Amino acid sequence: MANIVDTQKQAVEMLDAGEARPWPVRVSTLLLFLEALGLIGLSVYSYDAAVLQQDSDILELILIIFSGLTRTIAFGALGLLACAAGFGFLGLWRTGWPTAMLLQGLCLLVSLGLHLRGAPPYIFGLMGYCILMVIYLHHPEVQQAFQTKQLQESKWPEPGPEERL
Amino acid sequence: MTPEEERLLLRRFEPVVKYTKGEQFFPIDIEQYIRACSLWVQRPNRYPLRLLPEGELTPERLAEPRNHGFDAIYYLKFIEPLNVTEIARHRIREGLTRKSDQVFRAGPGRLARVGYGSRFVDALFSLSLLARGRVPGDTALAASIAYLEMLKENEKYCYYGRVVEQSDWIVLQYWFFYTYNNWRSGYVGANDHEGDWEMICIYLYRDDEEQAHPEWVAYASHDFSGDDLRRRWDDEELEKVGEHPVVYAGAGSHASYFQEGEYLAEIELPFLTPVIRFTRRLQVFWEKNILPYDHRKSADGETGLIFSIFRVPFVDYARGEGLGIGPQQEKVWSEPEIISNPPAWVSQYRGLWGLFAQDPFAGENAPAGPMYNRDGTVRQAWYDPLGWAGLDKVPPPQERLSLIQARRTEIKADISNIEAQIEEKSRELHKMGIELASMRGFPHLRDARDLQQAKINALSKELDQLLKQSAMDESSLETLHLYAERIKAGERSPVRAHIRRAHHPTTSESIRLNKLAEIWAAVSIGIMMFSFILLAVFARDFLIYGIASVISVIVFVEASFRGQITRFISSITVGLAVVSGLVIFVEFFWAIVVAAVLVSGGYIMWENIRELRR
Repeated sequence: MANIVDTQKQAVEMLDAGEARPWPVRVSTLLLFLEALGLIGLSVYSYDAAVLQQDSDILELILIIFSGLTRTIAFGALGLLACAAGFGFLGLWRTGWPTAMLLQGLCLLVSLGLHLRGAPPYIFGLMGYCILMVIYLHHPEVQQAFQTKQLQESKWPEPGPEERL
Repeated sequence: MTPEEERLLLRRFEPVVKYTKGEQFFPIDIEQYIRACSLWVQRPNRYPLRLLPEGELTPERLAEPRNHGFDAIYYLKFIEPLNVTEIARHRIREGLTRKSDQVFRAGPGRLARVGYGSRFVDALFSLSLLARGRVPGDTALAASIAYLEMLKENEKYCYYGRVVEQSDWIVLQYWFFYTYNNWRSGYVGANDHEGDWEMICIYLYRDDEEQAHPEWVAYASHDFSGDDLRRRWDDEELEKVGEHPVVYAGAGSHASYFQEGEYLAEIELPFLTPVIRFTRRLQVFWEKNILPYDHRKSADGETGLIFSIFRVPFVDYARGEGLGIGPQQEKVWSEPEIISNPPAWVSQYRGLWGLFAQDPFAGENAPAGPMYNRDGTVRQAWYDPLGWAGLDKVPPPQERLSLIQARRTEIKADISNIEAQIEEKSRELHKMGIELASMRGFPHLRDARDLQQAKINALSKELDQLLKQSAMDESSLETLHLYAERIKAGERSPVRAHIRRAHHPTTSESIRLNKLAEIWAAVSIGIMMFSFILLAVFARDFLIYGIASVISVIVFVEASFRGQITRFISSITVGLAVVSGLVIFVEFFWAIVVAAVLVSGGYIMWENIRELRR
């Protein structure tokens, strides 16, 4: 236990001293902003695809437009969430990591939902990107950076009787 | 050791037992209890038969030999449940006379402290009580009234002491008998039963001047065994009043704890054991490989109890703010009865010390006496008190140096023996090597050469084993030497190094649940069941999606109450990533195979070209 406590203390001291973030955190930040761009792009694409529909059957047209607008809103909201996660990573906010994971979860959920209803092919690209992000977000240095930040913000815990051993 | 020496030793270290406010039963003299009991026998497919009515039973008569067949179960019956009038009368009287500061208050409910799965299994457990044999609900009240009568007649708090000498340790056993265990009916616990035996052990060693010193203490407790039961005398967790260890007794259950607090005890349902084993393995895999790094884990990866949703959770309240019995307490122990040389009621009576409720899980059946298990076999704590607490491998402190010396001598003898063998086999190997070399260039000796080669290989392997053993022995010798030096310098091994799983009371942070969380815990199972029925009746087409949504919402609310949102999100996302990965794999199987082959080929080519350029 003493070793772990020492490592965490060192990490807190590094952050206190304003030393640069580990490179996996910087890469994750970049990837999150890229994801945000992609999602906003998908939102715009879905809007265009819905608006430019020229179906003769009015009922079908309404359904397609409704579905397209739903996707527009969903991807738009996810894009905003990705921006929030990116800024969370930028500032190493304690909500950064959970927001990024939530974003990946929601993206995967939407992708799987669309896949079940006959997905457009770009969905697989989104799925793949999210899977890679999930793996990357579990990089030990990324997690350590956020947990260290949390420890820095909270009071340093007094070692318990077992830690004193 | 003479009986007087045993008595003095028992009294010198007798424990202080502290109870939770509202506790109704305290250790009593078994003779008083036996006189108030009747003796019964239960034979297979027969009605229970009363052998002796209450008032006629004595410890001597209890121990009389009886023969009702191999499958007969003998048991005592302490009390009959009260009728409605008696209950009402008692409740009114109790309401008028009881002081509010003597009443037990549970605090945050047990269900709010555990997960959803456990609450579901708990609901099944509660339903099972309707079908299982159990002690009738009002027996606890009747037992408490009867116990109060006994106290009025003769207020006496006593224990039964046993002194055993085993492998140079002196073991002091303190046995406590309670007339009733009302954990279920009084404190929302797992079971109720008549009669309750509890025990603690103190392990002493003699120094060179034959003075006894305490070294270890072990308390019998739910779910724990072996090394985890004991604490060293200098462990901070063990409280003491002078030379008297403090025991915090669970309310109603009377289980023993080292620290005051509220303990989450989890009961495993026997038929769920395979499922529990499987989920435990899955959980270990998940925690090790998939869940994020957690700074709260200790260095050895222990996070306390691995939570299982298939165990039924119960809270054991060992708050210690109620009555204390023992030295410097409100009540003191009466003169102990020594059972080192077991009296007949200990050794001859193998039956149960209260009602046999015919519960297949055994939780509601009364226990057997200090010497026996419910099935009549001898308790390990009785025949092997050292092994029971994992002390069979631990020598008393004063013997450590001499044991190290003896072991070093043995190892040295081993080493000289091995060295002689190495010398001999080495010479043999050389000779065989020479012989093999001489056969080169003679085709007619091919078979003989092959045989010789095989012999050489076997001997070489043997020699290698001996050398390895010798190196290990040298290393052990060195380690023992260093250990002896440390002991001579007065160093002791870490006080808690032997503990793999310690039982800690629930922390105040983890039970700081608001009223809303408690209400949620109480109603969530019902809500889930109602939702399933509503979906099945009104939205059968969307049943699967509906069930998934209901479960997701419930789990989300649950995670919010427990402050585990991050963990929840992480787990769900990882699950979704796995499913999506499978979808991609199935959709693009051939493309993935081709890409993998191309990438591998390219990588190999790149590595080879790099090697050429060096």
